Amino acid sequence: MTDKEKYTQKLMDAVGGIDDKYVYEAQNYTPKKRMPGYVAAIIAAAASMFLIIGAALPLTFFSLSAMIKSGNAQNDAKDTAPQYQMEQSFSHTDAEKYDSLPQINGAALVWRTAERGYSFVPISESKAETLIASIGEGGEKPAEDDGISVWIRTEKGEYISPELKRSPGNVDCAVFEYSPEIAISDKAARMITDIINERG
Amino acid sequence: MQDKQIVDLYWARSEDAIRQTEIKYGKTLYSVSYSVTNSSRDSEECVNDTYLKAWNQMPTDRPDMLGAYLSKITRALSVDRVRRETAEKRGGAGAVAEELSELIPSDFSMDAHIENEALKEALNGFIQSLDKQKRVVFVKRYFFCLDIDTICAQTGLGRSAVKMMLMRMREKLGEKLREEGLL
Repeated sequence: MTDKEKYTQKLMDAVGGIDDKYVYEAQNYTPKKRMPGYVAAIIAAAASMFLIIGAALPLTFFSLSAMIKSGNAQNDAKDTAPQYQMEQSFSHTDAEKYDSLPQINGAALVWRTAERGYSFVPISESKAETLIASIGEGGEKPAEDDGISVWIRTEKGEYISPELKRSPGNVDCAVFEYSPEIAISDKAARMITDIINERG
Repeated sequence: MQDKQIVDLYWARSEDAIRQTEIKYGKTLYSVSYSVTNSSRDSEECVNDTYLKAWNQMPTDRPDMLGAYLSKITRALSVDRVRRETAEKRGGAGAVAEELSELIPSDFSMDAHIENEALKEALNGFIQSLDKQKRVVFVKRYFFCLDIDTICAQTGLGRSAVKMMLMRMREKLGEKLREEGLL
């Protein structure tokens, strides 16, 4: 028998003498079960349905309430008739009842508080674009929850959030871009302050 | 019956110990032996020899993990039996020994007396350093002498993954043994 063969025997014997715990572990090992393809497909389909329903419900609410308010506004328009109502606020009752946005045309700064519901102030398209561009400059630390949620409405009617509450989810979450991890940038904060100050 | 109760039966020299062992571990021990010998007749004999050896050792030994303890006896007896066979008749242990011999250089000369205990310790250290999945694959292959397909079935891994894993582990084991002056 060669030395190599002898050493192989020694190795085989040494493997035979490993700790009982490793033998036990290997004997009782059960691999993590992989999810079968069809189960994954069913879950994906169910998740998609859930998302679709989740998106459709708030949108339906939004559309219905907007239609109702639009109808009311047309009736009242003869006397007041402003293009935009500056800082249009909904009553507390309305906010609780519909919790949806006022009808807004064009670019605007929109915010919402628990006490007053939604408010907005119209801004120029370029100002809206500048504000949106400054979102990415915000720090990564979570914004502090001051109870106010802010969005910028673009001319095309998209809603973008430069700063949001830390709470998970949001009213009409399917409508908005939602970035709760992004703290508002100083630039965006200054601009928003200026817009509100200009409003008087 | 719990392992502890079976061990107590051995210590009490009750013949029921062997019957209970056979009920609980008979099939496992047979498969351990069959993986090594590839022979039903040899496996049955090795399992019976295991009971006898356990009967003789048990008043001294008090194993915590009876299944692992008996498996080690069965494996050792099966490997001994395979060694007595001619090369053609060698079972799974032959293939495993060949694989392990790959990490030994062909001009290897065993000048120094290598202690079995040192080798065992080095192996335990090596196995401990592996993550659980690799450890299980290593033990299944080199302790239980299971073939690659069986390991794949028992671990849910693919053939090439297991083969690659084993090859890398052999290389690492060779490195460790050289570092410790055991190869």
